[in-house]
Amino acid sequence: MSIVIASVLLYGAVLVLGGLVLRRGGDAVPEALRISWDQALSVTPRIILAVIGAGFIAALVPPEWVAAFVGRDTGFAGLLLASLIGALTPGGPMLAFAVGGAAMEVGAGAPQMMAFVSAWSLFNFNRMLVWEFPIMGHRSTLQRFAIALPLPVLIGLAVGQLGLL
Amino acid sequence: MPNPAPARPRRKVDAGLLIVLAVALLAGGLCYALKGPAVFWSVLGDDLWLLLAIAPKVLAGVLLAGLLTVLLPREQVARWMGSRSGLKGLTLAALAGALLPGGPMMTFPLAVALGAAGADIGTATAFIAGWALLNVSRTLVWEMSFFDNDFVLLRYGLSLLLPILLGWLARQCFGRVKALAERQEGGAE
Repeated sequence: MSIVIASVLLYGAVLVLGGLVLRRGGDAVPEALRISWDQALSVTPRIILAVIGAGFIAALVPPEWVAAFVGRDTGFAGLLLASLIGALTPGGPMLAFAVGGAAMEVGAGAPQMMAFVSAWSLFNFNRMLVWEFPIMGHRSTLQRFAIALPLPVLIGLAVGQLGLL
Repeated sequence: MPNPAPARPRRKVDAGLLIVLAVALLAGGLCYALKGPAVFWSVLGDDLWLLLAIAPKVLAGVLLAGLLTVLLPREQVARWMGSRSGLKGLTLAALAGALLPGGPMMTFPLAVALGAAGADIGTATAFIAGWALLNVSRTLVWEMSFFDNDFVLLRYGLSLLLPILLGWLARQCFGRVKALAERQEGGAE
């Protein structure tokens, strides 16, 4: 049911933005389609491999390990560990989200996975090393890092303590 | 006038793709060896169903990325909000980070362009955090494919104001409104 609602919203947004682009006329429509096509070529192999890889990982890792390390009852330590794993997970959004989603199906806690996703988003180590340090410079990068550091655990705590999910 | 496409399209094969490929092959091989062919094929079958289920969302996300790229010209966005500061500048920066599609190869150079257009560390932080936590096309394509909607909505809702807050904190801690470009020129490092 909610999948249907999400799809309706998504395609509604596509229609509205598509209408805006259409009204511009000229090269706007072929340009948008070309960018989308390029994106699709890049995303498709990644998403297929990520889903398959995450599926096998979920089958390999004993569920009781997942529950023991990042389960709902692991509390603060689990939040810290999940944040650390998130920061260290390489391979772009495909692998991070696929692994997180698969972990939740075999017993990872929602607060812990919230911390995992937030840490991956904010501090992906691989991304900071390859992109942020060289482009932004080490001062800006370290300042941003310092400011955002407590967030993943705080978000996880908020979800866990307030019983939000 | 439609803006030109971003100069650097994503490479078709890069480290990210190779890492997922290696993980898939390794995990698949181990699964076949340790759990046997029956488990291997059943996992693969489940994965194919999952792929079919998320395909429409991925298609929509990819279309949205193309449309947003055409609708929000990056250089213009940088110029437009680079010179704005205060809460308005932070809010615009967070919004731009959330809406502009593109990976790190497009986002960090744009953050530098913001600095060149007069933005400070607060605005740059809000932009990067907006992109990291709230990017619409990443959430639509990847996050919603693998987590259920309740999880995604809750995470997104909890993170909604964080980029503005982080930008504000960065501004308080690391210097008042002062252009990034100016700081980098003047910095001794």
